Amino acid sequence: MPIPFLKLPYLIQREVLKQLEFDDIFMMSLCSRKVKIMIQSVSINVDKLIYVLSDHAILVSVGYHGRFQRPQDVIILERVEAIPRESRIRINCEIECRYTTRRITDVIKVYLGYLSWEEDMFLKAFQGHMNSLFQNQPDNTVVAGSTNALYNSTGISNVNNADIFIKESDVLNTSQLEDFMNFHPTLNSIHLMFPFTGPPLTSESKIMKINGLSVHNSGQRTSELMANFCKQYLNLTIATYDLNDWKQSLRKWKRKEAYGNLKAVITCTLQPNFVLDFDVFAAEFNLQEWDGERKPKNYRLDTTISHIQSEEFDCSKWFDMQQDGGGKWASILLGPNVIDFVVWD
Amino acid sequence: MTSPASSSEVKYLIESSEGNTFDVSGAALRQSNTFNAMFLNIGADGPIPFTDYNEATLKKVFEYCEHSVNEENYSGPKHQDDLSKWDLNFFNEMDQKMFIDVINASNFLDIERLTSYCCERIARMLRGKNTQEMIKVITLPTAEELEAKQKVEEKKAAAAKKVAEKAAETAEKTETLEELPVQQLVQTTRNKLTRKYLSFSNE
Repeated sequence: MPIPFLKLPYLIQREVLKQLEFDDIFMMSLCSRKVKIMIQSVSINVDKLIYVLSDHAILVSVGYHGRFQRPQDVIILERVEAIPRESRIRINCEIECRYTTRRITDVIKVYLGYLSWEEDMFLKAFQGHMNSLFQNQPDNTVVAGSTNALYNSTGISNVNNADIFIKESDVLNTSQLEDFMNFHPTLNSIHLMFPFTGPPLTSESKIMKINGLSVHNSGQRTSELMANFCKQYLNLTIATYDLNDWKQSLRKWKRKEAYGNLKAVITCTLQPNFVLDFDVFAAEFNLQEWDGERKPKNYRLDTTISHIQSEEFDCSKWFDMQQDGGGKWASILLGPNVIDFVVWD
Repeated sequence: MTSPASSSEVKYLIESSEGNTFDVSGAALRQSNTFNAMFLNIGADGPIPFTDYNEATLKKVFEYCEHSVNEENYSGPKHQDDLSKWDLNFFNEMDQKMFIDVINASNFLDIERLTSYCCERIARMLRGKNTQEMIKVITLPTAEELEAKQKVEEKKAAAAKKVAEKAAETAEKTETLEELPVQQLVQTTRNKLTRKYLSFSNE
């Protein structure tokens, strides 16, 4: 039964859109300019647009910051050699692309095919179309699973976050990482899921100047990451550090020689024989037990960086330390497998 | 809110666009927020005029309201799969025109439950469809139709331009014709004056 949707009262149109998932709303937005304008008037908000890049395709999803919110797949973009007339649609009234559906393990996936030689134009038009559908400006997150995918990401602009999971067979090196950072000057955070190789990073390396850096399996590169990071959030898992790494970093912070913007360093290690001489440590940094007066009990790690979970730490069992000359306070948790350091504003 | 038993005793007369009137129970009518805002406190002396909607539509809408009087309080949109057999029959027996009239009336009368179910029904028609299929559902012209329409409009515009140009040409010619007698008049007057001046100077 056909319905003259655009002639229905606005409240009805809005209610119908509220009951649709975003993938359907996206398909509707391609119907006509008037439908797109109507969708824009409904004020849809999403926190982020996620572009999952593989060698030949890009999966586009919408996501939210909430911890338990799963991203919702919208469409898969793929390169094609031709666009048959019967499946032709236009993005932003300019670029033609091909619409297809395929059943993959009982789930119907929707594909938009674009001519490979029009990739840059298509991605620009696609991003423009997507962004115009939202009332807010969602963050753009790129997820890359291969070094090829890293280079394929150049068509996507205004990237804020990147999750890079390049496995051992195709190891990422630091120069590729720097290239990637050059392609995307708007990057605000990076999450590296696997170890990387290449020349050592310095405090001048671009990746050290990013607001949020998470390195899973940081291993032997932990020391250089800790020593050279100069922004807000550093998260290192399966890290390999010794007490000296921490001592040097804390000294620089305490003497205000570095880490002026630091908010939190979260680390965990699987080293079985990591030994912490607490008394020496406590004496050097003048660690003090929480007394309930200097600062509140709970520290709220509040960040929109997706790979650094927003959470509240109970710091009553942590130790406090202060920068020289009556500077900022920080709290540190010293555990056998975990050392967390948070700075109070 | 009064209990269904007591509110069903109160009847209101509703007037449709045809001028016909019919009874609706107070309990059913109270599902309309528009009614509640307009008449609940002040009451209604005569028939309540909902004259933007025809009798069949209003009867259909209030049939739904009468049926849902005894249902639990409305708690947000329901998925189509959760609709009762009665609800499904109610929607299935409507044709497209009636369905649209019911949506419009339900929207005007602000009957949350019915409006929400109607919207869910439309959403269901759109879910999982591709752009071309959606265009058919929401009765939009396709790209080809738009192209054809644009061509027709361009032709019309070209024809209108031609007509306008012809009209302008004709107007120009008429202006020249109209100007001729005036020039002749000026010349005649000038000749007369010259003769008069000559005769005066001879005297």
